[in-house]
Amino acid sequence: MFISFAFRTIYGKLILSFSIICIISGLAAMAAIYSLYKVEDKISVIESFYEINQRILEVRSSEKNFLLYENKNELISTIDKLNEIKTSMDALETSGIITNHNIKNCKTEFENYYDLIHQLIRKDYSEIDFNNLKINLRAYGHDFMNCAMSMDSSAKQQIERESRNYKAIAFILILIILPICAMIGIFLARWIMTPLREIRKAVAQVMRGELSYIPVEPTKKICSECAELIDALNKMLQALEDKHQQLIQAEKLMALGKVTAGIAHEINNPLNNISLTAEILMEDISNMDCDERRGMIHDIIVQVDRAREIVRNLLDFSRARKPTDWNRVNLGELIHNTLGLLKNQIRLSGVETELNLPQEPVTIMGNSSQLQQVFVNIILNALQAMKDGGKLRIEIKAVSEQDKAMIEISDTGPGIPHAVMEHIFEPFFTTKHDGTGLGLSVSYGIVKEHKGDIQVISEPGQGTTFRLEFPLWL
Amino acid sequence: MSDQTIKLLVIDDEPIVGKRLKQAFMKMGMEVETFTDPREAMNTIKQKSFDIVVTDLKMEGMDGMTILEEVQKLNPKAKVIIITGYAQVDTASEAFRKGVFDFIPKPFRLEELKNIILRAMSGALSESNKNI
Repeated sequence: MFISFAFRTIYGKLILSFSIICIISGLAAMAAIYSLYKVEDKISVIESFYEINQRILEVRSSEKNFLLYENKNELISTIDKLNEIKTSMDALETSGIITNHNIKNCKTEFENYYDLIHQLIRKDYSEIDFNNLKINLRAYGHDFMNCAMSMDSSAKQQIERESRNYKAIAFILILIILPICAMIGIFLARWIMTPLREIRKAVAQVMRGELSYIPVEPTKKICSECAELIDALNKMLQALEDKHQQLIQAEKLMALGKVTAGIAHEINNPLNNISLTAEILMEDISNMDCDERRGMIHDIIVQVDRAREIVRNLLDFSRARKPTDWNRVNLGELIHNTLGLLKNQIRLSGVETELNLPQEPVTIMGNSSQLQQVFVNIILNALQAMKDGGKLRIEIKAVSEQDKAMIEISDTGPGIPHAVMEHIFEPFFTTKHDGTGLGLSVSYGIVKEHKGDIQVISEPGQGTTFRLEFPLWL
Repeated sequence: MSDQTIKLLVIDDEPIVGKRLKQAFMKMGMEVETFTDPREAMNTIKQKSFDIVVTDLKMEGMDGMTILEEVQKLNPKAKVIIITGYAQVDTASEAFRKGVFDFIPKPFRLEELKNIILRAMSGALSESNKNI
């Protein structure tokens, strides 16, 4: 349970790694504390040897005085010191730091020496014995001292050896811990970085338009936090896309606002024709012959068709289609409908139109409503550039060798100044008092979504041409 | 008596407007001329005087406002009535400032236009009577 949690989340991996590091450092610290205790023991051993040596020297100097002056008080003064030496040796024996046979040897030597001194103090000996005892005393003292010194030096050697061992253990611990920590570090970085790198790659692909969302699958098993992050990013992408569609629709309604004058005119004219014809017909119906009446009724029907056509165009254009609603689009037909929508706008600007369509229909794949929005934007811009009249030229052709459909919309207006040119597709950039600066930026977005390209060819005083290219649908 | 015949000029790029108005006002005994091209109409205005001019506002070639100005220059007595499919307050007030007789939005009822023309006619007649 914990293991799968540990391997599936960044949180779990961090906890696991830190636990491992904590355990290792705890062990190392315990080893260090143990070594310190050991060293402390050794130091106390060295101290007690120092004590013992000191006492032995004192005893031997009393012994020397006794031998020289035969003052027994000197010997009596050694008893306390010898007892101290005995206690220290017993303590050393129980501490187990010094090898047993060493200390046993020394103890025997000590007993011999100790007994001899007692004998000498008790005075139960003859004159000859006294001389022998004096010689022995010197020899036994010497032996005991030698034994104590050799015990001391061997203990010192042992301590040195053991402290070398501790050093070696510390080095070995470092040699083991360092690679483990380094490995944990490397794995941790890889565990955390791999899914993040995957996400970064996917985001880049989304930005290039190769993906529409970030896939969750590859990272889900190793990083559940990453799956949550991806989920949030995908929701954000969706929200952005929704906002983008709203912007396109809002911009479309704004473009529609600009053509209301023309559309009102275009609808009121047939209505006026219908109303006038009907009134005359009602007034004079009895004075007319059949043909005359039929002619007038025909006029009414034609005018109704005309109004219906305008309303249909308007509805087609303003309807919010789903962005995924892609169909085959006949560019010639679409331009024709667009010109129908803008007919009056064009007529009122006093602009002539020249339309060059190929014999064969040119079709592309796309969202006709959004494509029409692009054409309306460009044509309205062209009309605004030709306030004093001019010529609007629209040419459609299929460039078969490149599998491309090309539409050129040209005006004979004053052209676009160089300083303005580089900004024309930027959102909110406008040169008009009533402009929003969204028309061309939204158009650019739409063309790019259709895998198309939009180019502007303009020289001040030479007019402007918008050239649009889309992949041809065969 | 022939001097008393009211001469009406209708300029509208919608041919049906000219056709119907001609039918209606000829019946009322007026002399009616219609044009769909405002430039042709201007040529005629220069040669001939009309009592009443009914013109569309937005037309290809020349707009109703220019016709109003030209007519007033050539024949200040003529009454100009503007009809338009896209009536806006500021264009209407501009037209009135320039001395238009009336300004009516399309679609209009024939009765409405008839009344206005009758009003204009009585003005024209009374003025010509004064001259007599």
